[in-house]
Amino acid sequence: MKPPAPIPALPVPAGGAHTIAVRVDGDPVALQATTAWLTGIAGAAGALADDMATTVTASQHIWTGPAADTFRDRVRRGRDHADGLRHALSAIVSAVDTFAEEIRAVKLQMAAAKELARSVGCRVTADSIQFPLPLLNPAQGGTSGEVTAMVGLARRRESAAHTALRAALARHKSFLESLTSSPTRAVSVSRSLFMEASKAKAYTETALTHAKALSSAAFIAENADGGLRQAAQAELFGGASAGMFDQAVRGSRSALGYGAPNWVTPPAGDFAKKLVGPALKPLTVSSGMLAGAGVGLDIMSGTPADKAVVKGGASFAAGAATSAALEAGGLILLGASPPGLVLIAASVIVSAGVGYSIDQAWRPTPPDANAHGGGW
Amino acid sequence: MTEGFRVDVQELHVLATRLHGSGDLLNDRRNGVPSEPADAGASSDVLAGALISLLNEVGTQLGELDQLITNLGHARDWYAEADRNARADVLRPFRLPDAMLPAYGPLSQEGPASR
Repeated sequence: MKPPAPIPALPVPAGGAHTIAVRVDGDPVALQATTAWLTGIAGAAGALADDMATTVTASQHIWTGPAADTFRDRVRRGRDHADGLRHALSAIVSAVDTFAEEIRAVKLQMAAAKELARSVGCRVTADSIQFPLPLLNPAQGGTSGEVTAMVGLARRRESAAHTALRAALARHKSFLESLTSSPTRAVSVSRSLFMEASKAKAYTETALTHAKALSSAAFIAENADGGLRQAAQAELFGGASAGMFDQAVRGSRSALGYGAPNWVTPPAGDFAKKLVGPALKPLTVSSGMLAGAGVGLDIMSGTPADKAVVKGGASFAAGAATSAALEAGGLILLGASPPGLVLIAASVIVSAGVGYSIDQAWRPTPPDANAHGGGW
Repeated sequence: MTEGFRVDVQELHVLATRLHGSGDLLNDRRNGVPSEPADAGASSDVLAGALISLLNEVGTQLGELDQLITNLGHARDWYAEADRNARADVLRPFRLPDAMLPAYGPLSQEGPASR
């Protein structure tokens, strides 16, 4: 049997400055504040479970009958749910406490490595140790090898802490999902005795986004030599902002382009489609908004409101009709779409002509034409 | 399933009060949430996801408890009202409807006694 190929060794840096990242993400103090909060909830869930058990027992002496039996069944299910919550919370508290302690220890190990590096003349910053040249591989040197080993050890411990935390959370995630799908889940509560504070509501809505940003910015231990891969926040968020901008532009363009073509189903048949499609195309939100803006400008410049509305509407309709007619005609007669600029120019000319004609032909409505009953 | 029923209405109120107290405690603890998720480095999102699931479960538990207490109150009111109605029925003066009275006609002079 052919022996398996040896695992290739990590590439040795060919030269240049060697830097090891020593930043350790995670805030043990904040993590322990979280576990204190969770411990409080676990205690309250336990007290509720105990009270529900007492309620079942006490109710047997004071209340009997079918309704009482149903009530006790429901209280027992609630007690089981509360008990499950207590256990899940306790296990998560334990896992997070252990994780916080491990991160604290890793930070201390990194601090020791930095101290040693500083003592032998390395450049030490908050997040990195830079070994002086001309080292080829700091892991093979004397003191630099010792520093690298300390950092590697700390990284392995950090990595193990993350693995253990994730495993513990994954175990309880499946439990929590089973609770959610249990029949004890409340269908709806119109009037709540127990009001959720806005802070808790906000946490539920925003914590995940915030935490994802923290995770993206974190350094992740990649190998035992202290070599790291940073999920580069700048790259991620730089790309995200450009992407978000593009998305916003696409979104606004899609909203402006929304109109008749989106909700009218063209009739079957190629000929009908060629006629209906171009006729609907100009009737969009953006063209309507432009017509509306024109009406507004007319009114601001002193045109009577009724005249401005008629003029704007007629111009818009005429422009749209011209555009549709030209496009449909071009498609039908020439078999190809006419250039967009020709369409726009023709629509503008017709639209302006209609507007001008209305300007010339407009006769103001007599002041008493619409009056009923002789005014005041 | 038990036949018939027996209930102490005042004690139902005691049960509801006890459950309400436990719910208040759980709700207060739930609402003491930190303002921001804890920084757990690369595991921050996993931890926050788990805590949000927990908060949702606490919310479900409180919603269920809310319904239980409300329904217990309704049951208590129903029993109390049923008892009031029963008492009112008992106190109502007894009078048989005319239709149920025996249809005796006027006594005949040639009744059985005179026969």
